[in-house]
Amino acid sequence: MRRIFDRFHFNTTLAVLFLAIFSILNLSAFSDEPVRGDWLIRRLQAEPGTLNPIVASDAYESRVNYGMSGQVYETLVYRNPRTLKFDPLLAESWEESPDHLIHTFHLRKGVKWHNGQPFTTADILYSYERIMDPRVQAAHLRSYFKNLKKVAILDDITMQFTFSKPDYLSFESIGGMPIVAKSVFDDGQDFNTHPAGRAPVGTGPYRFKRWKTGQEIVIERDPNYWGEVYGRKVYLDQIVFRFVPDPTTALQQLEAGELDMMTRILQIHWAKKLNSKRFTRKFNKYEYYVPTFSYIGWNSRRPYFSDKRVRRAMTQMIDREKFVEKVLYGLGQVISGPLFFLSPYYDSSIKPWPYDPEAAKRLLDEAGWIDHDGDGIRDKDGVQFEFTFSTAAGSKNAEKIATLLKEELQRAGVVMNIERLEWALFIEKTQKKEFDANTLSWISPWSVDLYQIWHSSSAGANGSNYTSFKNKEADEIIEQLRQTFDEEQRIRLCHRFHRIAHEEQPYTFMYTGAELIAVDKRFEGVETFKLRPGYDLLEWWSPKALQAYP
Amino acid sequence: MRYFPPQGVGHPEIRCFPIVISRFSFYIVLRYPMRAYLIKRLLLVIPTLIGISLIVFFISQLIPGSPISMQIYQLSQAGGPATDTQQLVEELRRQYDFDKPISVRYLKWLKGMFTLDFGTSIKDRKPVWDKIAERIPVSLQISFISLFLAYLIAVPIGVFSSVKQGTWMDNGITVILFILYSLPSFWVATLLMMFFCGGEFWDLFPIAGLSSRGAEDLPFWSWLGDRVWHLVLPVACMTYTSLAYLSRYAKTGMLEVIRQDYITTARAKGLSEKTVIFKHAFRNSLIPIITLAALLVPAMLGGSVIIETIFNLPGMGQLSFEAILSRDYPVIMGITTCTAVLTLAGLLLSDLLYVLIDPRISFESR
Repeated sequence: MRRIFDRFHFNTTLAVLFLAIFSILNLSAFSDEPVRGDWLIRRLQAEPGTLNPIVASDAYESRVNYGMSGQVYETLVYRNPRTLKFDPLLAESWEESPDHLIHTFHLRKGVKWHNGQPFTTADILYSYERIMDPRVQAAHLRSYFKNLKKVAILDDITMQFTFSKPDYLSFESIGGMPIVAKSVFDDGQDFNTHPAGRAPVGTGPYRFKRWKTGQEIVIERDPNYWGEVYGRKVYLDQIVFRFVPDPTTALQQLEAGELDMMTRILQIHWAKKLNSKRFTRKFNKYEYYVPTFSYIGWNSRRPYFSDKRVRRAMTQMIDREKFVEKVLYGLGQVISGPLFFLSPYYDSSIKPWPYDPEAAKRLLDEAGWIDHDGDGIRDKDGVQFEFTFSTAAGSKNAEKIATLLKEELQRAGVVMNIERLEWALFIEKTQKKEFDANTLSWISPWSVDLYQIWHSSSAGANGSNYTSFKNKEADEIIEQLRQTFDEEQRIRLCHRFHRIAHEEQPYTFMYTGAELIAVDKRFEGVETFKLRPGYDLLEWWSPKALQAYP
Repeated sequence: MRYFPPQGVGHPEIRCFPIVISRFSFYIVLRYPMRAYLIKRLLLVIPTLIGISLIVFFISQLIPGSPISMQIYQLSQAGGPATDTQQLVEELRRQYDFDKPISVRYLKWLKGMFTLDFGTSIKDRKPVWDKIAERIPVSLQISFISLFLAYLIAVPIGVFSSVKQGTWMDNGITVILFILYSLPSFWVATLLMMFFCGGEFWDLFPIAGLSSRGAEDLPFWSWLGDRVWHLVLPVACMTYTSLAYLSRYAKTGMLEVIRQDYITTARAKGLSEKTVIFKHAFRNSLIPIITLAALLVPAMLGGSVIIETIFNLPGMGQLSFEAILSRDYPVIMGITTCTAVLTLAGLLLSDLLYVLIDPRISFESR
C-alpha cells in the first residue's frame, strides 16, 4: 500500500507533513515495552501445496501454520526454544505412566477455534482418525502412530493414549500431532481436497486472512486469541508470506523495502553484497545454527567403499576447513558426526579427521588398493578404482566439492567421474541406492532418533540409509536409544554412536552451514535459536514510531 | 486505385491433412467449400489430439524420477520414526494410481478428458484446470503486449531496412538487432532489476509481481497505472528478443514484394516512392508475418519460465516448469493438451487468414 501511494498519489506533501508530526508525537512515547501493530512481510521460497496440516508434506506449510510454536494451528505441546523442554500449549498438563505406555493429556479450558467453536477432545480424536484413515493422504504421519494401541476420551478435556511398547518418541508424536477442527472438516466433503486446506481454521494467535495463488499468504492477529489470558501475547498485526523463488530477486526486494525479512540468504550474497553501509543501516543480520549437516555418502555396496579404511582415506583427501573457509566464506562448522554440534548429544572430544593426503594414500595401500598393473590407477582383485560422484544439478557447493575431490583423487591414483543429475532423478537414484558416491544434507529434529538414517533395517529399497551402513553395535545403540528415557544415558549412547560413525565413516561429515537471515531494523525482540526455524515471529514487535504498515 | 496482385509470390503450402473423411463430407466440400473445410479440419482435431496426448502421456511417465521419491525425500527430511518406507511408498503409489499399468492410467485420463476433467495436481491437490485458468491471464497479458509491441517496432524496422537494403543503416540495424537477440534474457532481466528497481541505483520500477499490495481496492485508472508500471520490465525483456526475427520476416517479405513487376509498373507510372512502398508494397508484404502471428498464439500462452521466475509472475511458464521438475503428471498433461489445442487452432487460423488476406487461395481445390 505504502509503495503505491508513493508513486501514484502526488498529493503526498500533506501526508508527509502529517506523518512527521505524528512521528514526533510518538517518539516521546517511545519505550522498550513491546507494542502491537505493524506487519511483517517475509519471503517463502516456494508456495505450499496446501495449508491442511494433516495432508501437507512440505516445509512451507509449516512456516505459515506453525512457525516456532504455532501461528495458525497449534499442537498439544511445543518445545520451548530457550529451555529446549516441552511447554504446555493446547494441553495444560500431562502425565506419563511409569512404564511409559500411557500418556494422559489434560486440555486447556476456554480454547476456541477461529470459527468460534470450542476446542475439545473430539477434535483430537477426529484428527487422529483422519490420520489413520487410509483414504487420507497422510501416509507419512501414520508411521508415527504404529504402536498406538488405544485412544480414549475420558471427558471433554482429558484424553488418554495407550501404546503397545515404550518408545521415547511416543510423547512427541502425540504432543506434536497436527490437530484440525472437526466442525470445519467433518461436512461430508473429501478431506484431502477440502476447501479448508486453502483457508485454514486453527486455534493459534494468527488467523488466516487470504491466499493469493502464486503471490502471497496473509495471516492476521486474532484479537480473541485464547492465549492472551495465559500470557501468550503476540504483537504483529499481520504476517505476509510472499513467494519469491529466485534468491537474487528476493534480495533486491529486501533492499528496496518490499520485504522485511529474508531467510536462507546465499553465502556469497552474505559475504559479498550485504556488508555495504546502505544495507547494514537498514537491516540486522543474524547468523546461527540449527540441526542440519552436509555430507558425502560412500555407498558401501560398492567394492571400494565397503572397506572403512577406504572411506576414511576419502575423508582425509578433503580439506574441509579450507572448503568452509573459501567456498562458504567461513559460514559453516566442520563436523565429525551426524549429531548437532551445538547439542549435548555431539561428542566434542571427537575431532574431525584432518586433511592428510599422505595418510590417505597409506590407508588405500593398506586396504589393498595398489596400482598393480602400472597404469597409474589403483586396483584390487582386478577392479579399477574408478567411481562416479553424483551431484544434483544446480547445487553450486556440491559441484565445488566434487571438483576439489576429483583433483585430489587424481593425484592419489583414483579416477572420479562427476555426474550432474536433475533433482528428481538424483533423489530417485539416491533412494534406490544406485550411486557410488553423492553429496546431500540432512535436516534433523532436536530429539535424536537415529533409526531412519543409520539402522540396518533402513537400508532397504526406499529407506533413508542411503549408503547401506550396517553395524551391529550401532544397531543396538539405535534400538536402545528408543527405549531410553534418562537424558544422561541418552547422551552417553549418542556419544558412543558418534564414535562409531567417526571410525566407520559411512559418510564424510562435511559441515553444518550457518543459517543466514536479515531482518529490518525496526523489529525488536528478534532472537535466534538452535531449534528450527531458529526464530519466533510471535515475539517480534516494532516501536510505534517506526511502524511501516498498514 | 486497385493494385495489381503480385505474381508467383511463394506462399508456404497450406497445411492440410490428406484424409477424406467421407463421401458426405466430400459432397459438402463441393457445395459449401469454406464450411466443409472447417468441419473437416475440426473433426481432424480429435484424432490429432488423442495422438498428441498419447505420446506426451507415455513420454512424461517414462522420464526417470517420480513424484513419490521426491515426496519421500521431503518427508524423510522432517525426521522422525518413519522407518517403514516401503509401506509408505506402496501407500503413495496406491494414492496416485501408480500401482496400475500405464495403459489403464492413460484410459482413465482420457475418460476424464471427455468430461473436461483434467484431474487434480499431485502437488497441491487442486484441480488442474483451475491451476491453468488462474495462470493463463498472467502469461497472456504479458505475451500479448510484448508481441504487439514487437510487431509495432519490428515491422517498420523491417520495411526501413528493406528500402535501405545494403546501406550502412541497414547493416547497423541488423547488427544491433542480432546483438539484442543474442543477449540472454535472464542476464538482461537481472541487470534491469539491479539498475532500475531501487537497489543501489534508480528506483523507477517495482521489482516483481503484477500489482502492488492493495491495488485491487484502487479506482480503475490507478489500478491500470499500477499494472502497467509493474509490466514495463518483464514486457521489455520479452520484446527485445523477438525483434530480430520479426523484423527479418518483415524485411524478407518486403524485399520479395518490391522486386515484383507491379511495383516497377507503379514506379514507372511516376508514383512517389512513399506511395509505392506504403500503398502498393506494404500490404502484400504483410501476408507471411500476419499468418505467423496466428502460429505464435500457443507460444504466447506458454509464457516464459525465465522472465516469470525472475520477476516473480505466477504464469504458465512457471507452472509448466515446476510441473515438469516435480513430475506432476496431471498438470503436465493438462498444459500439453491446452497447448496442443491452441496450436491446432493457430494452424487453422493461419490457414484461414491466408484466404482472407489473399483471395487467390481458395478452399475449393482442397
